[in-house]
Amino acid sequence: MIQYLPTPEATVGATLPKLLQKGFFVKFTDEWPDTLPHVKGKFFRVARVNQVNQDLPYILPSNDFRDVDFSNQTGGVNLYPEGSRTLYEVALGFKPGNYQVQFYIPAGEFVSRLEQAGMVPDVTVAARRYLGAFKPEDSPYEDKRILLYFVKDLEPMILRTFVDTGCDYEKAVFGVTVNKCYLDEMKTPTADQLARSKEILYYSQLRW
Amino acid sequence: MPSLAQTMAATPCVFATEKLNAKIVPTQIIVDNEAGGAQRVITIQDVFTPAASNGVPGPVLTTVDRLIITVDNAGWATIAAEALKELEILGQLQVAIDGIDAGTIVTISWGFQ
Repeated sequence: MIQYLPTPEATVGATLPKLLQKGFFVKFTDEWPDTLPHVKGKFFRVARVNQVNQDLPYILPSNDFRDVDFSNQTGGVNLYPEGSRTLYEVALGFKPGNYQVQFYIPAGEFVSRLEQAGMVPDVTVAARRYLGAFKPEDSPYEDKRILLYFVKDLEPMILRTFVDTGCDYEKAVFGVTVNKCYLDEMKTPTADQLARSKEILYYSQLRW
Repeated sequence: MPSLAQTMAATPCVFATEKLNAKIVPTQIIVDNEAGGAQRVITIQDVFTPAASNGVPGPVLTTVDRLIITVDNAGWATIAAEALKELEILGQLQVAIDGIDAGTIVTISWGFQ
């Protein structure tokens, strides 16, 4: 799942932490595929968490892009868990620069698209260069607003990093905080626990 | 913020190697050519190897000239933060001179972004 946290218009009462904490509940929807039986349709309590920071820098030429694979497959940056009881909640932010990113999962499948035929991101087509793109100001390095959720054996998530025209080169720096969550399955959650849980959608649910 | 003064007895002179997760942002450049042998041309250079990209799968070491200053014989040049605020160095910060001259002194201060 990809979640974008917009700037709040107002805050009322006690604030909630941005990342999952010990004791929080998560619910994976039934749309998760049968190939991921360790999470499909299941309900968990977060037993413990640990945050791990990482920076990913890339100097790229203008009007060019690089696909950054977040998974553990060859060539990836290894930000996926290996244990079936681990959820990685990844907060992603960007240092300033003349670049943008678009998400694909798996490779070639756009996360952000509109319903009109052909309205899919494509940095090589001027009219659709900015479709579904996140720019550094959307999720600053110091205030990460993009959350990604990874479990073992999830298809590779690709971050297409495009350096826009108007410069010779740009250095794109991604700030990553991996919130490692160790999960305890709860077979029979109460209605209250279900109501308070964070629902984690499968990517196909974002792509209607 | 770091600062370093070097005579231009060699060219290029490296002032700062690349900080991988940041850009180098010069905040002040002073060129003292009072003891120099002639008018000098100083070039602020950015040296890096880009990451592999769709268009350039096999990138090579690249040098980009970011700023060129001509300093009169026996003269000075000072460029302060306001004039440098849009100058960013993606990789290694180094300075080249058109003629090696131990009488020319370059001082640079910088921060990181």
